[in-house]
Amino acid sequence: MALSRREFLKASAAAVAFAAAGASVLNPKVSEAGDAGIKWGKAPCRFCGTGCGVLVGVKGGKIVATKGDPAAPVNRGLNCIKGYFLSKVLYGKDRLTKPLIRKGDKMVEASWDEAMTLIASKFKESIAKHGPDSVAMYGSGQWTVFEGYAALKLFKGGIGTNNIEPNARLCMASAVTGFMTTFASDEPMGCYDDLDLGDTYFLWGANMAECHPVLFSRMIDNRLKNPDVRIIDFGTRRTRTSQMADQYVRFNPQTDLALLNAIAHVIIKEKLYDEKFIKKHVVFKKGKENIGYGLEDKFKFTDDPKPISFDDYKKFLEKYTPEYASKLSGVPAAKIVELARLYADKKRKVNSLWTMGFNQHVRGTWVNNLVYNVHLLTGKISRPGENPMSLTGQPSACGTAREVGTFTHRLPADMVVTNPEHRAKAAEIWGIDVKRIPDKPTYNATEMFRALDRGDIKVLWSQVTNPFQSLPHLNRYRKGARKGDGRFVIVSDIYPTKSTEVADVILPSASWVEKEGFFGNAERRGQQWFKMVDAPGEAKSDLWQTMELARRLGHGNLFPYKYAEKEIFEEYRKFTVGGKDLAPYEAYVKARGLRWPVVNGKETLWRYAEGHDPYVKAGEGVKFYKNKKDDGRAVIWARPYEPAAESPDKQYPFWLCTGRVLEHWHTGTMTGRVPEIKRAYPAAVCEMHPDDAKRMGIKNLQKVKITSRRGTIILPVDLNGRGKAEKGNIFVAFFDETKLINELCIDAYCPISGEPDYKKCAVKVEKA
Amino acid sequence: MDSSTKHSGITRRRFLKDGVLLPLALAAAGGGVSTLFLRRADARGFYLRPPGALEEGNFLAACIKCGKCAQACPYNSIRMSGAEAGVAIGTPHIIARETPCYLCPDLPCAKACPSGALDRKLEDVEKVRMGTAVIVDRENCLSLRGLRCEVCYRQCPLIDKAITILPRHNQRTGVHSIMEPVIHHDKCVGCGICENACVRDKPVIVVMKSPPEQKDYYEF
Amino acid sequence: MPVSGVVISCLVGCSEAVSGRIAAFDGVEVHGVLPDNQIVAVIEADTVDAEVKLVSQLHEVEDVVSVRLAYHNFEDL
Repeated sequence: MALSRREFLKASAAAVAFAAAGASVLNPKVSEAGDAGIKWGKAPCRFCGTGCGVLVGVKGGKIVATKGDPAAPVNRGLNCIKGYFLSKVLYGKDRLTKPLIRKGDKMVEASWDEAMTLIASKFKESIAKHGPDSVAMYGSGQWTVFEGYAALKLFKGGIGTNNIEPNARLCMASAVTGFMTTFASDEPMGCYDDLDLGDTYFLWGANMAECHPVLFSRMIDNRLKNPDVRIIDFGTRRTRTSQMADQYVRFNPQTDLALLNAIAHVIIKEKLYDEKFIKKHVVFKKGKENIGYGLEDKFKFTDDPKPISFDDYKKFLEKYTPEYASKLSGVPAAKIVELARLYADKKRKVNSLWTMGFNQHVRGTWVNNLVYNVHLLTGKISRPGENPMSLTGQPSACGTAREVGTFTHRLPADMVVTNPEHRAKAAEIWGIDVKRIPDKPTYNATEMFRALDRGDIKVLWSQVTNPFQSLPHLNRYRKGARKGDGRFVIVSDIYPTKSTEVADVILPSASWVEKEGFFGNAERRGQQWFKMVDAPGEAKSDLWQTMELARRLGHGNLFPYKYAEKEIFEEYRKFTVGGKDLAPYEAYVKARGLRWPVVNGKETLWRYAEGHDPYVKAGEGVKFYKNKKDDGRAVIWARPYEPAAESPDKQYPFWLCTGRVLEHWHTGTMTGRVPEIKRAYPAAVCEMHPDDAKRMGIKNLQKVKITSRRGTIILPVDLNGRGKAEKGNIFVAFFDETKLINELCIDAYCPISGEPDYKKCAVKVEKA
Repeated sequence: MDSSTKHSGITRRRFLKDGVLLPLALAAAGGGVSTLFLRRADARGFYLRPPGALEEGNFLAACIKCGKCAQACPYNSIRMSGAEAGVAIGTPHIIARETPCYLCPDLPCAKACPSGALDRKLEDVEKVRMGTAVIVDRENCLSLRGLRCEVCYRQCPLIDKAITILPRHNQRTGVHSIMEPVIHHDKCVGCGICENACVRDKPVIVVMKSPPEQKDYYEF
Repeated sequence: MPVSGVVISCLVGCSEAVSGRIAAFDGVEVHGVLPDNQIVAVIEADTVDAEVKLVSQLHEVEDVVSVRLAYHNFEDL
């Protein structure tokens, strides 16, 4: 490193002179705000899907403090380090405060009227020239329910295009299709209480210790109280979660499919299944195989489910002996048998928990199905303390993206655009002609940005997310956005990001408690908050922005609200009756969140369970009532093992996995602006196994060049960090905007869910 | 050494005679002078020396204040102390809160030492003993209050060795566990990465002089 | 080539003006003007003799009360 000796001496000279002069340049005195006069209000945390409650302290129009809300059932006054610094995430020095319009290479300040006039004209022009499917909205699981709902209504009910997708497509879509194909209703049957009540926890591709920190401490506390509790961590990387688990079961990437089938194989072979439960509550199906990887533009896939018998299913599983799965996965056959028995142990209350390892998977839907298979075979589902539980990443991935349904194929509350009855219901609630709602889904998130690259989509508006850092195969899509030829990208955000870099218009947004909001967390808990401070400068809420565009496009009649947030909520609530029921808005104002369905003022802890779910009749025990097609039964799917889209080979011998760390949230736009967090974890590193490094003569902290077929990046190696890569694997976190690891990721996706696989692609590693 | 060096030796006396304050005099007279970067270390009566440093007394005797270790440090972690250090003026030290020692596997600083003040033969970074991390302010430690922080633990280069996590029941919430970072003095090298990473305004975990070894025969 | 860090005390209210004056000297870099009429500067010169001369000149600058040496290095670079 090249700080010259001379500069070093000069810096020392100045520093010592400062010291001698009695000046404290490094610790400027910060005036301490007194506690007096702080007004506190409640809100859910802005970050992950856990949905911790916080109290927000406001004084002089600014957030001066936050603290965990002792009355919030999720976290009871605790937070993780991101939540601790909530009061600082909105106050980075470079907050966007004025609309900016691109003039050549420069972004020039403009008035809202200029910006919105320009945006509306681009929308109108594109729709007139190329039709409504040439404009698109790319939203977020960090949208409030109101924002997502307004965008959905404008695009599907107003503009008349299904070109709306949330970034949740990149994180939760496989969980959704997993739930939909197995239960015909999205979202978990269980809730966080299962973390207190169960005694056996199988984690699959989930680094809960870092990514759901408060929930993890809850599960660990359960084990402290009950020494019988077992935590088994299935993973491809040794994490902080593995460290605290009772067992860490390492498997080769992608072979979770084989492992789960082998577990089912053992359960059936040893007759450990719950025959009565299966007879009453389960049907068996088989879908298409060799379903592809979505690597080609305009990839289309439709599954073709066929009913099969229990015997057919048994036959299908014959191949998945523990030995066969062991060969693929690297997990000893005896271990597979042992864990299958643990899964099926009648004395044990078994839970499965998973996150991105399952969802960001080219067979994400399948692997979600397969874990339900095990729970359905053993009947360990919809009971207090034993459930499969998909953990969410974003604060309202459930509440907004999934429940409101801001996906191309969706309408609110489990409804889809392809179903004429569903369209009719939406049209009725929206007061529009049903023909306005197009009946064909258009693009999933990846395809949406491919369409922008090709020029099929001309105008794309991104809100509350940072796609030009978070998409896989990033180079292509970053270049695509700036190809000109009528392409026009609008980005609403609170800070400059990698996405605002490629924008034609940047709109300054209000965030979190700068607006009224509503988030839905991973346990179906809806949480409301009020606006507590003004947004800086001219920043405005994304809800206002969307409705303003609607007005300028002549769709103002869709948004005739005086108190938009509350009225939107009450309108949206009409969709939710009959299984996903939300309470009246006022109830959420009072409560620290309520878990739907909320019927007669009572929340539901366990769905499909008699005595808990109001839609299950007395005597039914368990009823998967949303799956009317299969007579209220859930589906066990015969889903095979199929390899990843790209596996290591001679040229690219390592698996690359990406993910998060506790300190940073997603692309780091907020947490990266908190100096304390930035100092605690400043930059991305490349986790590598010490043996691999030794073989290649790479020392700890040394820089390496990582290359995939799509991109190259240089990072320091971390051989003994918080995460320990297995041999032949490396891991890089994606928060660091100066090191865009997603340029290396492959844009292959699960054909059913459309969710890309950020966990598996092939790379080579060289000394830099 | 060439002639100009000799020459400057003479002129230096003149320089000092010319009425500019002697650094040591400044340090001695500086009762009211607050020292900015040595204060924290100074308050603990402890300077965090580069890896491989001899015991403080011997180190001061051996160090020739050449600054070669500082030059060799790729992170600029090592600084030469100023007037406030008294007799230790000009010796290398690390202010962990500003830039800790990142424990380069080849220890270039120790290798660069011409005098033996730093042990050139030191090979294994885990054998480094610069000091020992201590949680000095338990009340203000977020992890000990039940928050999921543990930044010091996750950033520790000897994670699970020098710092481990001891979960215990959080009686206040009843359903969460407190993840307590526990420092193991026999493993901690004193690099100061934890002190640097601590998210509080004033770090609650700091590197201090390693406590003297005390022997007994109990196994725990 | 010597490098020194010095603290310059000025008459009350004159530190801004003094910093302008001394910054005009070759080999003087002003690193900070403190609220209590002090200035922190770094001095570089080719030889120690030149440096001594420079410090003496700083003494003569209008409104300067004193120049104190806080750090001095004179090895060959």
